[in-house]
Amino acid sequence: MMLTLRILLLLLALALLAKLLRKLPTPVKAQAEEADALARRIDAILPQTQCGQCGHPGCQPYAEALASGQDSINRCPPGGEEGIHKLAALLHVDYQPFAPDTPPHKAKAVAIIDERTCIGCTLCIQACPVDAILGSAKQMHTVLADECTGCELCLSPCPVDCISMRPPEQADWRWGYPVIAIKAVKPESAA
Amino acid sequence: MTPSLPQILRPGMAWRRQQQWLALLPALLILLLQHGMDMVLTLSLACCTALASEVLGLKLRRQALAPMLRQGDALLFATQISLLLWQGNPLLLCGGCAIAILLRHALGGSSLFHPAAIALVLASAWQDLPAPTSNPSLAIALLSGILWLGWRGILRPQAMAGLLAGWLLSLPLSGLSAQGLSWQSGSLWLLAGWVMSEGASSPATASGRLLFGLLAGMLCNLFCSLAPHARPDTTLAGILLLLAASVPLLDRALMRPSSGRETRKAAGE
Amino acid sequence: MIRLFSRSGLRLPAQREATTRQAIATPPLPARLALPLQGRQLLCEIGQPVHKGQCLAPANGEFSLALHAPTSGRIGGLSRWPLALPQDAEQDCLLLDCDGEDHQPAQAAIGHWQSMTPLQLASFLQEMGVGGEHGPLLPLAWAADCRSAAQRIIINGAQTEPHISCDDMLMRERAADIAAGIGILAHCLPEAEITLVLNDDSPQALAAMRAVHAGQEWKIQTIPAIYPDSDSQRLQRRFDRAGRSAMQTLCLPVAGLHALARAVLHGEPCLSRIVTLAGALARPCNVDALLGTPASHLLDFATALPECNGLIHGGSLRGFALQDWQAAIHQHSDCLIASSATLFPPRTARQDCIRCGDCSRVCPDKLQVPELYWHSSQQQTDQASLWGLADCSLCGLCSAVCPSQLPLLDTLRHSKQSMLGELSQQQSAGIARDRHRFRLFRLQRDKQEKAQRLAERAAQQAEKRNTAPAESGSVPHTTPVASSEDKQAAIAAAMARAAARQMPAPDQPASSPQDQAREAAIAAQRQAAIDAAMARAAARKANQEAAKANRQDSPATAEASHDGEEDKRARQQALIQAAMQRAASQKADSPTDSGASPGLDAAKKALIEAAMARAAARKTEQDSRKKSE
Repeated sequence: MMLTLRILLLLLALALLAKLLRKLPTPVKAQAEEADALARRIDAILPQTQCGQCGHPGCQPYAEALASGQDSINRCPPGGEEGIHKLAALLHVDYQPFAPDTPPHKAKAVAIIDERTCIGCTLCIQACPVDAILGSAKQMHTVLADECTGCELCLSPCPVDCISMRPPEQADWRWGYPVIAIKAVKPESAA
Repeated sequence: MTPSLPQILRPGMAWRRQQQWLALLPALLILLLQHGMDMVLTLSLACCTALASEVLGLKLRRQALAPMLRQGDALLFATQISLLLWQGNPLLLCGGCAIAILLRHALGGSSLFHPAAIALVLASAWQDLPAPTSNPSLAIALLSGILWLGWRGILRPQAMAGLLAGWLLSLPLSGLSAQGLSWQSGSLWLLAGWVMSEGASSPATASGRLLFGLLAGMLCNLFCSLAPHARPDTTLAGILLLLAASVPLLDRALMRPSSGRETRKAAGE
Repeated sequence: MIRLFSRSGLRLPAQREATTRQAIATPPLPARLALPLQGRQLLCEIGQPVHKGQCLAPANGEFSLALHAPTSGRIGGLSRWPLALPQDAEQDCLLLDCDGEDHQPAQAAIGHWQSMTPLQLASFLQEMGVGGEHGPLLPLAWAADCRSAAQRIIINGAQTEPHISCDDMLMRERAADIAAGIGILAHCLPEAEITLVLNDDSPQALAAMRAVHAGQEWKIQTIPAIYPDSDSQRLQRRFDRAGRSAMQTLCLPVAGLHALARAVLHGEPCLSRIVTLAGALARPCNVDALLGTPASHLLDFATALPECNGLIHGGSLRGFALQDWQAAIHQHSDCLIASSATLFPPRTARQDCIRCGDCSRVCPDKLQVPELYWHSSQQQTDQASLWGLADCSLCGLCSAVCPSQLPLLDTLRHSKQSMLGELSQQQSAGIARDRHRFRLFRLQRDKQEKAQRLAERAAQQAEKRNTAPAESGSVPHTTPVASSEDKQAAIAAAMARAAARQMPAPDQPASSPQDQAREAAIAAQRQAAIDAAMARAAARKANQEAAKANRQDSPATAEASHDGEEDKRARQQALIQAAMQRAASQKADSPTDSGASPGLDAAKKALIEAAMARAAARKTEQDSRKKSE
């Protein structure tokens, strides 16, 4: 009887010890690595517009802020509602709608430079976060439409206001099986 | 939008109901020949009740009346229920019809629980039904109906094969005593064939149907041996209703995600 | 009753008898053709008369084709026109008004085709507008490196979808051209295994192709006409299973081979295609229709019966309804079906899935369709991908056999499109991420290099300063005292060089004073426009800053400053308007400059006005800044 009681007490002690050990703080390096990996996974979801509307200078800093829990998930207008849902799913937090003063979601547009007015000042080249503007001092500047993410950071630095946003060309040259743009039929609710 | 196809490629629910009703025709004729006006009255009573409850159900769900009535669900179920319960109290028959069809509407229009099985179980619970009499011609008529359904592609052979296999496999456990009678009375065939051909109450995959039939056969044998005084067709009906709850589980377990080339490529990226 | 549910796919009733009874017909020339531009640059002008086969727009890119005029006429204009695509997608089209003469200059064969490399042949076909399934008949990327691996070429003449019989008739009537095309291809790629694939239920086509085959190297093979086994992907897989899978397989449409032969041997660009006209028509047939023909013109030719209530582009399974019958046909229009109530009964209302399992049983890709459909309709593309959305060939069989009339094909199409859209979005996001990272790296690297250079220069100068007093007389350095004169001389020499550079070179023809004045005037105009734009930009910025300052101010003073704002803004606007008007009047005046001096004066005036506008804008900016302080 006493033997079994002692064995039981021993097992209980071991269980408590295991619980305590698990509660020990993980070393800082491991935490930092985890945060880094998490930041990378968050960055993979973000739309990479590098526009700065979230208040951070690019998508990676925002991802790092999210990974360390310093920012909320509803700061990225180009990602839209689906982006918020994906971030909420990844970070296991509740869905938050956009704040009321968030700029409205704009359709994807690419910048275009009016070549008659461009004076070759390179201010827009310095502003573009993905180097999508080709040109150099006193030479004509032009936007590489395939690389432009539509972040609109080049619009304000231009001193002659020659950059405007246009919707991108439907660049599907392939005549494969035609893709149909229909709305999915919502299943009728019974009763 | 996709255009509608020639009728031959779009069987449609109306066609399925039609075939299922046609398969019941021989059995109906046999019973009419054997029992005459009684059967006609019973049948018409059941049909009226079924139509009335169908209309009530559709009205409560705010659905259009004409397409569903034209499809013939109510008439089919009324015929099936009257074939099962024609010997008993007519009130019981009507009540069973009404409740089964209203329950079907309450559960959203098509449910896992087959109306004929529900009607039989409820009627048995309310009142002790008389024991089934041997009626070989009825059994043969129903069997030919099952073969017709199989030929039309509406009844998949795996379900019936599974049922028979399950029953045969579990024979050593129960013994042959009460079994012979039930197969000759016909109602068991009705339950087995038509309830299992109802897609909504049976699994979608072939292996699922096989498993379903096996389980149904084995459990039927088991319960019949445990409770020999109960009607075997009631037992089978009850077992089918119980197993109906497992149908989504079987579907989930037996449907495998795609292993196609493009899916593997997309997943591997 | 068709025996349903063979293991993969379904043998469907071919329904080809009506359209294959007579020879390929040629409809009369339509009044107008609509040719989609797809971003290609025009070589012609609006209103210009063109002859048949004239190149109107060259290819621009790996996957585009050159555009040729299908018949002679006059370029009517450029506008949006519906094409025979789902939902009648409108594209920018070149409208060709046909003159009915079909005038075509004589064309010659390409003399040296025997010595063409695959890449040269592929580029030639691109120039002649001969298309395949995606872009040019021979993909340029494939042609560039096709000698690296063994090649298998499948020529797809099989068509298993009901009603479509265009390839069947093409092979019956133009077998010689097809054989010639295959011969050219075989000559260009001697090591390739070429196989022509046909249905097994079109014996006339088989006989015609066998007759011209005549012991050549390529093979003919028939496949059972089970839908959708005529899809190029399924054919490729079938051949990969049968033969060595290390081969690169290419699938070409048989119509492309016919066009190849006409292009190489007769110099004819690809201007038309065979279209099957089936359904509720008085004269169902196959027609040789010009590309860009409106569908209504073809329907009129085949005389639609009164009960015709719709037009379907494609076969009965994959086809889609055309709302606008003026939609122009394109290179992938193989069939137009005039639907009627008897031919295509209206669909009954959708019901719930009864879980009959027929869809999964008939699916040729062996997918679990109920699960796939469920996730697709819930817009869960990642889950749908797990259940095989990428493998779904969108054949439409599941939709065809569903007793509850569920919109399976439509939902899967939409879901697959959004999946592909998401994939391409992810790819472009990845590219943007890499570019951003490289930019950050580049800025960092430039900063480091600059710092390094400065450090080196500082070190050098320090070294010089340290060693200079030690070696005062030994090495003849330029001492600070004597360097001022040398410096001045150096500066004078540099200025002379700069002046010489700016002077026109002596061997250039001396430009007349008028030309000089003209150039000066143009430069001045440009400067004026730029300055006006700068003034606009500056004014806009000033407005923004003032507005920001307003928002920060208290509401009490907001009104007062608002009024002041109004005045200021009005003044700014007036100044800018004045500057712009002056610039505009300059532009209007300049073409009529009569002599050297008036031009110069005008130029000078423009410069002065521009300078005034600049100054005014700067002043308003300063005012607003002062006010906001």
